[in-house]
Amino acid sequence: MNENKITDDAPLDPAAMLALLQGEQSSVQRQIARDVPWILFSWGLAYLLGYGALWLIDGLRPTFALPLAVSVVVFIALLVGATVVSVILGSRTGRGRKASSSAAFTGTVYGVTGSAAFFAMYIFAFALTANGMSESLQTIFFPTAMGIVIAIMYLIAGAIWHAVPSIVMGGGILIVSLVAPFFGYPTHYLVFAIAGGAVFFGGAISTALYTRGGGRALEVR
Amino acid sequence: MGDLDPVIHAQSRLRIVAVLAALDSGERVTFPRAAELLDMTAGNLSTHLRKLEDAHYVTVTKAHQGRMPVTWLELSKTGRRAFEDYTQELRALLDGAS
Repeated sequence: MNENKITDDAPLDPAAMLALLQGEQSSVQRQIARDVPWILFSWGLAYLLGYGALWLIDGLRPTFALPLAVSVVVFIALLVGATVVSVILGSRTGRGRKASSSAAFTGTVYGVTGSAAFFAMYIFAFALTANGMSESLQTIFFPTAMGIVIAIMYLIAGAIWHAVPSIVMGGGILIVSLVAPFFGYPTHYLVFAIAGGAVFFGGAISTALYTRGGGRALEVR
Repeated sequence: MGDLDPVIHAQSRLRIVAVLAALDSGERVTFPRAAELLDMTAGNLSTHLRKLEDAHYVTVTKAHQGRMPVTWLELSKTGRRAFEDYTQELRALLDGAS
């Protein structure tokens, strides 16, 4: 909200009027972005704890081993949780607003592209499995392919909506997804957990600072 | 300051136009959401919207979502142009003053 509540409709001097309109535009952008930190935080948590749980299957043997079933349930539950948080907060962000038909088209195509990319990734994985991809290679393929798809979606989002943090995060996720496989199983899960989680937490902190009025504009016009 | 658009050159109306201009071109916002974004009372918003609507700067559309009546607000092309001109004139005044 604009901190200087207006009680007088008389015009101010030009500098004050310019500051008023800039403050108002900044305020509305911060209000609209208010839930973004929580969405990114939920994904950071999903990466950190989800991949952390997968790493604990074999990562600390023989000292400790988390049962496979428990790890997978924790991982899936966190992914579903982050998705639910994203959907609920995303719809709250868009409440009371209706995009133009061209913007709605862009948003729909973007959403469908994301779903299609994940679907394509799974079909490709099935095809590779049918051609002999081992279970140990699947543990490398899935998190990497998922990370690459997420990274590309962030980069595209940044390009469409001129959102620099989205481009930075997309770049970060892409680097993590391409570096992690070289650590091999199970350490690559730890890399996804810590470095991947850090990218999302970093995004959450920077957007939180912005929405509280401490950061620079998120958008380039 | 005599050349500044008198419709926009009032604090409340400038705030309304600035908020609508911050949204994408062609994007609409409901009356309650606009009031919330502006931290403005419904009465105050209505009063100033009427003046902006009379100047064809804001388009007000009444519709229904299911059985609920909804009032949509949108900055018209004229309004967006007027806001851009106003901002440019403010900057020119400030540049001239410095």
